[in-house]
Amino acid sequence: MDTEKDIVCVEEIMAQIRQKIKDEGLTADMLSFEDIPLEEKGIVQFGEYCPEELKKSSGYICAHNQTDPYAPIEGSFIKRMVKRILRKLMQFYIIPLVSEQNAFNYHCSNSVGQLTNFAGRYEGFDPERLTARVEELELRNISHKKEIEELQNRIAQLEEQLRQANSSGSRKQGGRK
Amino acid sequence: MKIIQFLPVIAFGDAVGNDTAAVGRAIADMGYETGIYAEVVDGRLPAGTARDLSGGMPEMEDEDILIYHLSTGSKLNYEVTKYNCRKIMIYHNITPPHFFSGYNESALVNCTEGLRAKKDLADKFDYCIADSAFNKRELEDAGYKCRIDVRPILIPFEDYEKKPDKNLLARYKDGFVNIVFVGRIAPNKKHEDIISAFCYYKKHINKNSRLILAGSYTGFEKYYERLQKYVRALELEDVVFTGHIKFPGILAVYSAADIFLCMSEHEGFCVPLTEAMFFKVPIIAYDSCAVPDTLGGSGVLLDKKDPVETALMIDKVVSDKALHEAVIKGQSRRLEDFAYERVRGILEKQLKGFINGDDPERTGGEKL
Repeated sequence: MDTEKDIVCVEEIMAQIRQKIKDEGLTADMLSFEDIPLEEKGIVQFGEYCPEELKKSSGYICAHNQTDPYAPIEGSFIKRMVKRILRKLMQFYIIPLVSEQNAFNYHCSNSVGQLTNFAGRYEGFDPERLTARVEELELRNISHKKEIEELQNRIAQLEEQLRQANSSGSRKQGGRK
Repeated sequence: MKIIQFLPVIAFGDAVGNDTAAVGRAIADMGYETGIYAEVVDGRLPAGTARDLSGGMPEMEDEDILIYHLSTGSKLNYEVTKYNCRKIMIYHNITPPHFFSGYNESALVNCTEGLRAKKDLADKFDYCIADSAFNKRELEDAGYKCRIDVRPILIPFEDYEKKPDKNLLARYKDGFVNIVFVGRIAPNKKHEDIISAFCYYKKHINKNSRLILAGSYTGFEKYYERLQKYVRALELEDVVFTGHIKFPGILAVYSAADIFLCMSEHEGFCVPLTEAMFFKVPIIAYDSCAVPDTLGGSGVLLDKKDPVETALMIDKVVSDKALHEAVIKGQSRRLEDFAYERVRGILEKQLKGFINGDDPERTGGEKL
């Protein structure tokens, strides 16, 4: 920008705006986009286990397990007043209900979270690979058993040879006498 | 010697499609044999703009040049490596996939593949052209060691001189302050932050105001529905989702606009900013990605996303005439940098430089 007059000093304007917000205590006090659930209209899939689906859904359950009965009230001044009065009148009924629901939600989501953690331990678990490994170990077990049997036979043979050698040795010593 | 452009999809009216067609015209005017080949060619494009790849690619000799437009995940991203000719990439950016999680799984996969391809192709090109300095930095971060120059998207501004939709213009020109954003409804564009700022502005500053969100929501229906629910939950009136509208409709939206509000968190260039500059609509935008590059010091950049601050800034720009004028003046000056002939000149210089093997330090690059 060429001339000084055209230069927009955003920092200066923003400083004034921030001062105004501070002086007048302005706050947005409105619903955030995160308060609006992302609606999943898909059909729940049964059949094959999909760890990504489990993580996605359990993540959502755990993140949204608590309900706040004091959502910001929107609308015109009169609408807001009426809604506030209604909320006050209903709170003896709503608050215990929400508390009970929140406690239930907490335990449900905690269980789902624990199950997800448990499932995570077996991530990469391949039953076919495991069966093949068991078969391989069983075969090795059989061959080890055979090896042990052969070794035991060999020991028996050697013991027999030793026994015979000892008895013939003692006979020779007796003859010399 | 021929210079062939190659890309997965050439669509009618989108930034990549417009840029590809304009680059094609510039190459033809430079006297080279050229052509555009795409896997999908939008039927609304003028006949002969591009050819379907099913008919095959022309024989590429060693001295020929292949220009590849990278903007998405596609098997074509790897096809380009099969050619032994010289290769140029025009990088239009790829949206980080996390934005699409929960909204559009195929877009998420597509962008993931695109980003992987961007890394894999780091040593496969002889020269790269990026739409913005932000895109250039992305290529450098991905390990590209070849020469990378910046050249803005070629925008045919004469199209914006056409007549806007009269009915729509009359409907919006009713004395209300119109805050607009133009761009497809997609999670990276953060329409929710525009809505929350408008909510404060409408309820606490100016009830005679309207928010117009112009753009198609195809592919992001879940996000669109969530935005609508948000508007209903806020009990907010005068929020218009136009959906896909024809070009005269877009011209009407810009013609009726008082503020262009952009809260996007990912843009490779953001053509609508230049459109707002063209229509002399003051821009208030969140400082992120390529937005500051495109604004080039003009408009109003916000360093923080706060609905109250944004709403008060909207009020300031709308009501303070001197500030309004200064913002428009700055934007008009910045718009000159994107003039079709100027950008085309940059492109020609860059292509000639590459063809002749000129040293960019010696020839001097354009300041953008």
